[in-house]
Amino acid sequence: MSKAPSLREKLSILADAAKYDASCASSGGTRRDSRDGKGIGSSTGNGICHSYTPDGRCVSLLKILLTNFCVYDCAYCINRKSSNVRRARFTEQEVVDLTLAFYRRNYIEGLFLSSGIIQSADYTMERLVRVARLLREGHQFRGYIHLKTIPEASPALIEEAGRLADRLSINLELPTEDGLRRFAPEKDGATIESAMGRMSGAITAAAAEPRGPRFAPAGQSTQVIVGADGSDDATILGRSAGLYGTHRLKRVYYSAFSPIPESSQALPSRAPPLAREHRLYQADWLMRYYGFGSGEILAGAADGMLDLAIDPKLAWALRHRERFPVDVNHAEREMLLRIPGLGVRSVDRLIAARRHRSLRLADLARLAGSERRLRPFVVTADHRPTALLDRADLRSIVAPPRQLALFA
Amino acid sequence: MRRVVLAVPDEFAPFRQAARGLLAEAVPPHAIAWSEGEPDLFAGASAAPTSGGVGDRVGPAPDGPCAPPVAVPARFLPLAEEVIRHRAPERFALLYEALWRITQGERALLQVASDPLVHRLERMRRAVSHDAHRMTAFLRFREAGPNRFVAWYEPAHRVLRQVAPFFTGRFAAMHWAILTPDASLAWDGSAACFGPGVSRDAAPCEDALETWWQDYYRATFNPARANETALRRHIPRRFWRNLPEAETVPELLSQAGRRTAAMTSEKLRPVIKN
Repeated sequence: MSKAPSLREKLSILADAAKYDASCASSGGTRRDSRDGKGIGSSTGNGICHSYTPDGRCVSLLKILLTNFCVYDCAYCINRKSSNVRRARFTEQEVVDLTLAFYRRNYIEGLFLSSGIIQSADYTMERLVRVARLLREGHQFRGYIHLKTIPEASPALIEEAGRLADRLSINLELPTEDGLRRFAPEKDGATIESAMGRMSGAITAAAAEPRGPRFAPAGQSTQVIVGADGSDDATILGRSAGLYGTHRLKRVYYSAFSPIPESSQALPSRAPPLAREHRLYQADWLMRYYGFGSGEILAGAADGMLDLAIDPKLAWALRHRERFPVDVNHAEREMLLRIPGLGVRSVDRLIAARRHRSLRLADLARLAGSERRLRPFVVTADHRPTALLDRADLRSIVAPPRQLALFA
Repeated sequence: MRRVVLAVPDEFAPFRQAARGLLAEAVPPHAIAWSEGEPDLFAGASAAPTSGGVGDRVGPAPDGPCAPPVAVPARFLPLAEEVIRHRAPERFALLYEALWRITQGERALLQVASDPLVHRLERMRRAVSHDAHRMTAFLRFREAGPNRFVAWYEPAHRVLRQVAPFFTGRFAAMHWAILTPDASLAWDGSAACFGPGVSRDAAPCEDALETWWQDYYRATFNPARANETALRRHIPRRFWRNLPEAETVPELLSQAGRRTAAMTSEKLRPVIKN
């Protein structure tokens, strides 16, 4: 048995243990500051990434576990009971002090606190809530707090967590019941869903009563591991659509299953390509902001998997050429949003601009940043792509091979 | 050719005053040569932080007749206030050209985002806005005494006034100063005081907590996902020298392959019981 870790060692151990959670968002909190001079911190409503790790992921919050001791034995998790990883446990006060010290130097937007399960769900949840209470009430901390919720914890504790935190989350981890049974035997899909449902009710009720007690104003999120079990992208997207619809989740995070030290042999030894995770995020955006139904994104695709080489909107357009070209001077917003290469903001500015001008290809290039990809799919005052849409090599014209460089 | 020299290069009020006079005389854009004089921000100036940095009292007004206000669409003001903080010398001429066209009958000009002039102004506005956002993100305070903090930062554009309300609202109970090459801002817990630019050696060169922050940064990185291209896209090189965590990056990237290989090596994978 090695000697007890120092506080600085605990920081390394418990940050390392928390890093497989993809979420680091600090957006959606109520706007507030500390101009009254009583405390510290603010939230602008928009998140801030204070740094990026060498994998390009946002560092916004101090993301740590209270402890990585855990009674569960989830196969994908570095902290599972049977892993030989070095263990540590912060005191609640240590987490508070670290959060404030980092916050004062403008390293972070706040705290994302999670934990291994020790003793019982309530025992663990009580300690997470206590950290948030010390920050909010003891130090008048107005920065961002994201607390991991333990589904089995008592409703009273979750109630208090919601009052103190900006965001709550329960990680689903496996997209199917079967995956959960195989890889996370102590977790129960029905308990997770019912906890999400209760939180969703509380979030909606609190949002309807702006003067009443707050409850997680930045909503709830979850994470799904991609590539640990055999679920295809269509299954994962269908699951996400269900979560957005039923429990009004703010975000579903997709985390490509990653090799971990001390990993279990129950898992695949190879990680899925990070591009798959990236394509899932793009498809997720299509559902949330572009009006795509979950079933529509992969309709007509052969194997229920997103194309890794091109983005899902372009892939959809190539499979639905009969819907194009779209006349940008007259089409409805709904259809403009389906044009590859046009984002939500570009579409809205396009609609404002066409009230005053008849748009030409060069106008579209300025609105969208580039016209090369758009060209086959649009009609403008000076352009009509007669033959392009019928060409067999259209894909190679609109999808340059370098598109994947960032996610290779 | 009319020559207009603006002594305060990053404030909207002096530009507005000059532009009103020129529009009243119907001077067309091509007949004006705009230039900026020496920054003279600090002739006793101290603006309240809540003003968002548009304080009319800051900076001497240029000479000229007191021209009547010009009615412009509401969206011109926020656009101009940000564009004026851009360092490109042509910003005054572009803003004046927009004003000229708006007052010559193109009232809806700013709604036409596809117009080359509007497109260019919008890109400049976004560059300033992005730069201000990065300053709120990448600025690091160093402890200089009990409850006293100092930061050194090098913004691409003149955004100190734009970000001042963010810092005074967030760190209201701390005493701190933000130093940049163009200007500085000190906060004593109740009032903000803008001052001249300083050199980097005026800021503390270390903070004991930075090694802790580097520990955190190392630990939160997953070597199996190393992606230098994505990192550089999010944090361009010019920011690195002022970020304490950046010095760990070369080591983290060079070790990533070996660490990942060790994780996936079969020998280290104990069988779990079912």
